[in-house]
Amino acid sequence: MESTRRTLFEGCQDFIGNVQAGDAVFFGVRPEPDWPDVESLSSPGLRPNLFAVAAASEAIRLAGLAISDLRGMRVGVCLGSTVGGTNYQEEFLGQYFTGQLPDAAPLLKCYDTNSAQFLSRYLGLRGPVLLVNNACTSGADAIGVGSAWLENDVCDMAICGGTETVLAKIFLGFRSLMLCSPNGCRPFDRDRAGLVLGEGAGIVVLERADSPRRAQALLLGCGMASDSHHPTAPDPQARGLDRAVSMAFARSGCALEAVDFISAHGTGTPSSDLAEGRWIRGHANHARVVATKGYTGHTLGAAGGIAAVLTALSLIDGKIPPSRGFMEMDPEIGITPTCAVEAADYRLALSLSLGFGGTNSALLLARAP
Amino acid sequence: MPRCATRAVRTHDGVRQIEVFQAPEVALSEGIPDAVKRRMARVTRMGLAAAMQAVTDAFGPQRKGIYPKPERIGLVVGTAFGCLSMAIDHQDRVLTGGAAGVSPSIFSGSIHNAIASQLSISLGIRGPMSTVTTMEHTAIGAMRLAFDWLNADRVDHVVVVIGDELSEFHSYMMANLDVARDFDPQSDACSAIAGEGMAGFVISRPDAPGVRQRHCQITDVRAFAERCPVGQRYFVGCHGGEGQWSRHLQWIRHNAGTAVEPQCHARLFGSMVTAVAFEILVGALLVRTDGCRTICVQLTDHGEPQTLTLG
Repeated sequence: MESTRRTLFEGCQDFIGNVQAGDAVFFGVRPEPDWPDVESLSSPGLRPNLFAVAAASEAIRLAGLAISDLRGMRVGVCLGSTVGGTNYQEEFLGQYFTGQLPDAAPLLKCYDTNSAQFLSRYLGLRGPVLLVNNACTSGADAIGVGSAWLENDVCDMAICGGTETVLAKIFLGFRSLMLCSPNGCRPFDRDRAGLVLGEGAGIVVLERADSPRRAQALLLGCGMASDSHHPTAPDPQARGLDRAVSMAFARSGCALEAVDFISAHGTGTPSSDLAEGRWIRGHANHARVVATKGYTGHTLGAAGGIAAVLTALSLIDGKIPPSRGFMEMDPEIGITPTCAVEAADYRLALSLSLGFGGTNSALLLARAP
Repeated sequence: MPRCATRAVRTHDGVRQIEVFQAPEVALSEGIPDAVKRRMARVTRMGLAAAMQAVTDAFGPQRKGIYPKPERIGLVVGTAFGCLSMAIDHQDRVLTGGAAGVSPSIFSGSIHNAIASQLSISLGIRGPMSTVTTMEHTAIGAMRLAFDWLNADRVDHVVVVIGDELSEFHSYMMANLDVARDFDPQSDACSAIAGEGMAGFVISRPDAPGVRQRHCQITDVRAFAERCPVGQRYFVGCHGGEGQWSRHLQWIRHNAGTAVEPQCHARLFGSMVTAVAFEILVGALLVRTDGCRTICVQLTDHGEPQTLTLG
C-alpha cells in the first residue's frame, strides 16, 4: 500500500514491480497449512490466485487482523475475475489441438484456478465462497455481494474484490475487437485509442458497522444494473450506469450532489469513455473525476476491486492523484479529470465500473469518522 | 428432457465411444434475429430457452418484454464452465492461427458473462445482472444472490438460470480418466455420464405483482450451512464423484437423523457440477403438488455444505 501511495501521490514509478514470473517471494506470500506449495502459485494458471493471496493478506493486516484470527469466524470470500476459474485450459488445449493426447488429470485443476475457492481454502476459512464473472465490473460486484452477505448475516466478515492476470487469448480477443491502444492508456483524452491490459488484485475486508476494529473507510451503498443494449458496446446514453448509481444511493441517506470525487472506470476506449464521461458531465459535473487505469492498466475482473481500494486510499489520505495518460479534453465528452495531485477534505466518493456485456456497477464510499 | 447419445473420444487405447446426456436443440423465440441466434453459444441458447420457459410459467406468454418495470427484474446466471465450447473454439483459433485467426464474435461469445448479457438483451432485463461460477457452489450461490437482492428490495423478481453445456473437454476428461461408466450417483464409486442442461427459475418477492402462478416458497438459502435444516425430504446434488454420496448422506443424517433417505435425480440429466439446480427444480415442482418441506443439499469435495429449503 505504501508503494501505491508513492506512485499515486508522489509520482514515483514503483507501483508496478517488474514481476515477470509472478514470484510468490516478491509478494511476500508464505506457505499456509492448506497450501504449503507457494511456488506453484507462480504458474500461469494460478497467477490470479497469487495476486489474490498477496492482496488479501495485506488487507487483513491493515484491518488489524492476523490470518489466524479468522479461523474461528464465519468469513466469506467473494472475488471477481474474468479468467480466474477458466485459465486451466491453456496448456491442455495447446497439446489437445495439436493432435496429442494430453493428460486429462490437470483438467481437474479447475478447482484450484477458481480464485475465490482457492483463497478461502488457502486461508483455511469457513464461510460462503463465490466467484463473480461480470467481466470488468466483477471486482466491484463482488464487493456488493460481500456487503449483502453481511447485511443478511450470511457471514461475520467478507473478503472481497477482484483478481486478474493477462492471458494471450484475452489480449488477442480485445485486439480483434480493435479495443487495444497502440499509444498507451489515455482515459477521457481527446486522442484516446483504447485500453491497455493490466493485472493484479484489489481486495478489501468488509465488516459490519458495529465491528470493534476501526474502519479505514465506509461502504455506504452498492448498485448494479444491466444495459440490456448490446453484447460488447455500452449504451451510449449510459442508462444502465444511471440505474446502478441510483441503486447505490437508494439506502445510503446521501445525495449525488454530496459526492466529492468520482473514480471513473475510464478505460481509454472511445465508446466506453464517451458514455461514462457524458453521464458524469450530465449528472455529477460538480465532482472531481479521477481515472487510474493509466497507472494499473485495465485489469478487467480486478478493476472494480482495485478502484475501490484506490478510492478508499484517496479518502483516507485526503488526496486524489493525477489521471495519468490524460492530456487534452475531448469536447464530445466535456470533462477534465485531475491533472495533478489534489488535496482536500474529501468525505464521499463514487467508484464506477462498466463492463463488457452491458454490466454497470457503482460503489459509494465515505471517509471513516 | 436430455437424450442419451454417444461420442467418439480419443484415448491412449484408441478411439472410445462413450455415452453422454445431450439436451435437445430448442426453438428460440421468433423475436430474436437469426444472425444473433447463429452467434449464440450452445449454452446461451439453452439458457435462453430455460429462462423463457420460466418467464412464461411465471408471467404468462408474452413475446416482448416480461414486466412493466424491467429495472425491477434481476438476472443471475450460474455456470461452472461458462461458454466452454466457444472458449475452446477461441483458444483453438489463437493456438492455430495466432492473432489473425481470432474472431471478435467468438471471443465476445466466449466470455463467461456472455450468457447473461444475451439473456438481458433478449428478455429486456434492466435490473442487476450477475454471473457466478464456483464449481459445486455455483447453483446455491446463485440462488443466494437472488435471495439477497429480493431481501434488500432491489428488485421484485429475479430470473435465475443455472447449468452448463457438454463439451468435448468433458467427454475427453471422463473417457481418459476412465470414469465414464455405469452412472450411479447414489453410489460411492466414481462414475459419470457427461451431462448438460440449464434450469430456469423466476424468484419473486411474496408481494410482487404480476405473477401468474407460484410453485413454492424458498424459505431459506444457506451459502455456508453450519448444519442441515430439518425437512420432510432431502434432494442431493451429486455428479458421481468418488465418495460423494456418502459424504452427503453422512452430513444430512448427522443433522436430520439416521432414518433420513436422501434422493438424487442425476440419472435424468447426467453428471453436472451444477446438478443441485435440477434438484431444486424437481423439488419446486413436487412441493407444489404435495407441500412437503424439501431440503436441497450440495457439498463440495472439500465438504463445504450449502442448503436451500423449499416449502
